[in-house]
Amino acid sequence: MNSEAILRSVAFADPEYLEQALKPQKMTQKSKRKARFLVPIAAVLSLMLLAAGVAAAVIYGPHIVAAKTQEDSFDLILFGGDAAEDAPGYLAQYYLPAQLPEGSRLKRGMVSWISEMIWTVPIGDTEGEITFHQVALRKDLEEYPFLNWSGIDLNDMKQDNQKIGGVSCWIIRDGSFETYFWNDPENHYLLYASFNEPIPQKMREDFLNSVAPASQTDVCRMMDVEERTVWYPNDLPDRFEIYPFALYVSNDPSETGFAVASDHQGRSVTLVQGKHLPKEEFDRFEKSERDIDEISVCCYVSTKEMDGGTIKDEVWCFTIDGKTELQLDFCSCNTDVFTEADMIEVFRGLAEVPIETLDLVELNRNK
Amino acid sequence: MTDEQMISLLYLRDERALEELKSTYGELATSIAQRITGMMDSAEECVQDGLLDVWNSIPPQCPESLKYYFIRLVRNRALDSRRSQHRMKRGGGELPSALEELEHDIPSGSCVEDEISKKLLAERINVFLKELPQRDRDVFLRRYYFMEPSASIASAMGLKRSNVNVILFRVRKQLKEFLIKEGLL
Repeated sequence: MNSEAILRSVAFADPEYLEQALKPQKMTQKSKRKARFLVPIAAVLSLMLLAAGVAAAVIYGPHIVAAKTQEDSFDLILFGGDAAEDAPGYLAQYYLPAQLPEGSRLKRGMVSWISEMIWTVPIGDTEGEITFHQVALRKDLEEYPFLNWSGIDLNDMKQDNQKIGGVSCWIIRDGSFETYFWNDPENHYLLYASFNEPIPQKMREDFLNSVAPASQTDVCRMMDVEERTVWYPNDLPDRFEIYPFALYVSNDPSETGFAVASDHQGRSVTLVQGKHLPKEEFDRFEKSERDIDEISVCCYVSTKEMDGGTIKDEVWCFTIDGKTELQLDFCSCNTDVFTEADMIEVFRGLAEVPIETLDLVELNRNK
Repeated sequence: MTDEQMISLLYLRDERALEELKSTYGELATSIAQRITGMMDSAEECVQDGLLDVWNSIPPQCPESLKYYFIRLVRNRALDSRRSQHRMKRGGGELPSALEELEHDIPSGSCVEDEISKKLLAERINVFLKELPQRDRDVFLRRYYFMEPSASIASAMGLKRSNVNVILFRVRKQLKEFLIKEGLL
């Protein structure tokens, strides 16, 4: 059965389907409105940033990726990278757990976005080096409560003004190490690596030395890579559970995407991955000629030039894995303002639980 | 002139049928052929061959939809032409991309050439298409029947290109699972 045979066989498609396919189709205003997921992230972010005392001169925005299994059920949702810290991921971690009804199928966990570091190593036969960038470069994150869990002194971490971005999920499984991350300086939107063999000893040593300097090994521990474990700080709150699972990615730099992974117990895992994406990168992303298989919607918000608390040039984008069945097929990204109703819709789609209200501002105030 | 009228003329061996067929559906057929072959002159040749195939097959054939019967013949000619071209050199067009996309997600086994298998596949493809949501089906057919590029599909359907690619990716995956389930892969 070759692909040409399939192409020839498609020729026998019902003429009614063919006629239908050719009919002009445009989004209705209603569906455009429905597709526009807007939350007052700017307001939340601005409050957070203001609270942090940061005058953000840098354009950045959360770039959240959510995925949903085809079975419409979630055994586990993991929030990685910036999604774990930014408003949607933040809210999902703090708000959803409190609001979920008894016996909800949704569980939540957080993989160690806090394991950011600068680490440049050659990866097997893959071309070039892969560099993980430090979120620590973004000083506004110092005020985030999550960072305290890592025990890492941000001031001691290497500084590299040329690099921005964050590290996503770190999963160690069966001695192999698979990760996914963003690589900004090379202007590639996505560069990731998949290790299918046990971590070379040298790599492991480098990893440990970067992440957990000698003075901090008592607060950051990496579990034995020979077992199915995930690296996480030892003071992670109990409500967060870490499941070992594999995130299937490709080591082909020309590919992009997030995989919905399965854990070893047969449960499905959904990854919500976050990445701050400067607007200019987003623009390039949109204009990229590459096929992006896994992303159906791209959402992104930018806070630009905090001017007395005024947020300018807001663009909100929400990226969803291609397997999602959510109605979030597309999003208008032009200075719209998200509403709480939209955010509720997002999480309703993700969690399939009734979430009637979502008080973003109140939540933030509590934190 | 309607399809039925054209078929009647064909049965009467009246060559006006071909003129009508070409004037009515020639443009669509040519564009599809061009996307496959990547070359206009080759596409036009395929359309001419397609017309000849129609003439030679009707009667006794009496297709329900002359339009898509004709286009199918043109597509096949274009695919054949493309295969010959490929032996000599690589050309442009959408076919390489479409084949690669399908190949990537639905890897080839043996090359199925026998008529029974082809017919079975064709039947099952329609079952598969029927199960798809309309939007996904439309995108899939636009890409793999009409051979439209993703950007063109996106524009026509009011979608983002990335969205189209995702839909195609998803449907290909579903098609693969379907073909496996049907024992065709």
